[in-house]
Amino acid sequence: MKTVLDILRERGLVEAITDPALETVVRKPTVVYAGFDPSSDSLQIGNFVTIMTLAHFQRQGHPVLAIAGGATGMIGDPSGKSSERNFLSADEVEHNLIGIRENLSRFLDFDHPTAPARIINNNDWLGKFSIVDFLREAGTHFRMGAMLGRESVRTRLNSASGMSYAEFS
Amino acid sequence: MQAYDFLHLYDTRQCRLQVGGSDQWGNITAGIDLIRRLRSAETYGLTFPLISDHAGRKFGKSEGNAVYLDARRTSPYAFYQFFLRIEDADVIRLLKIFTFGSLEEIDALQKQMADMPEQRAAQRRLAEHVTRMVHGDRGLRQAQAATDALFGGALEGLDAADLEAVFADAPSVALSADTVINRDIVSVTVAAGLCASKGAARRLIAGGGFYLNNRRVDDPQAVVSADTVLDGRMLVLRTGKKNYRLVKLH
Repeated sequence: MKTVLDILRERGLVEAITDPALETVVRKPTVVYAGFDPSSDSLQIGNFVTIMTLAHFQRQGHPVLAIAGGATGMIGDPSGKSSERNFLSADEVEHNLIGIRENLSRFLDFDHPTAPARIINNNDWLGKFSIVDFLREAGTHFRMGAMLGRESVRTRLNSASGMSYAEFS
Repeated sequence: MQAYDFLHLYDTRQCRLQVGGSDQWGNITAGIDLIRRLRSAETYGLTFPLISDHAGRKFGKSEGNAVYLDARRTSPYAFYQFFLRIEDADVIRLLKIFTFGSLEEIDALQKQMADMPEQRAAQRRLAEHVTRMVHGDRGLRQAQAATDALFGGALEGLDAADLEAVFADAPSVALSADTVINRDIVSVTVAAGLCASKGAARRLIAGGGFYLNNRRVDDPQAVVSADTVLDGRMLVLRTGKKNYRLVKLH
């Protein structure tokens, strides 16, 4: 039987996978997530590929999680952006999340009996961290060399506006 | 922080796979590394290609503006038109990505495109599928009615926003309601600037070359009744085949 990977591949939706073992993993229901930028209350055609990919997973019986980067949107994310985005307030993120959920509901089934879709705001957990806890729990595991070597970070560091510590984290 | 999201979702929701655009590779592998170090567990990532057209332009912008899924930001008509205008070189690839249509069906459309490119069957199928998914049957009907309107189809049922979108290239004129409603068609035609004089307007109308809301009016004595006004505030006047003028009432 075709797996979701076979289906995505024949439709031109796979650029790369991190590990060939994924081929076997997806033969059983596997929880999958993708992130969405909460900086607008409506998704755009640019988000369509992500949505369709998640929809294919759900149609093959895999539960899907749409993670709205509420916390990320409140401090900025370097990847794919040439400048730091506007900082969103918690209220703006909440408002935008309602719109995004409505958009997603046309493609993803939030009431599916075995493989439901969920939309979750990452501020629900990142917002609870104290700075000390975050640096202990996560910060100690990231090496500066690897992080500075990232293409998105290098581009921003070399730009005129540079990059803030908040965004780098 | 995004790497931490993956760890949290692994811990709380048994999530083992993150998907994202190819620009997310670094974030995804950072999450996988973090989970391996802290939980000694294997998790996975999948990236899809960033979609651009055959000329390498980023896909999803229409004349520089983002195309939104929300009808209040991009009308179903504008949304439908965006997909209808996709070039032949891109449409088959986009059918595979943006619809659930079977590969057999898409192959058939590709053959049809080779035989009869002028029919743009693949573009129509793409625009229909995607508009129906995003805006439902009602949104699709509205988008198709608006598309037909440009080719002389009925205008009743279209709202002001659709009419503005459909006739964006036509000149428009603002008139007060009492210079239009219950006035004779000849006066309205002159007031809208479509004819230079009442005599010219009478000759045009009697000659059968005048249309109100895409319906021919050939009686110069006709009166513009309130119920011909579209969405309570617009009229579409036309002379000949394509010469439109949008009248906005205030």
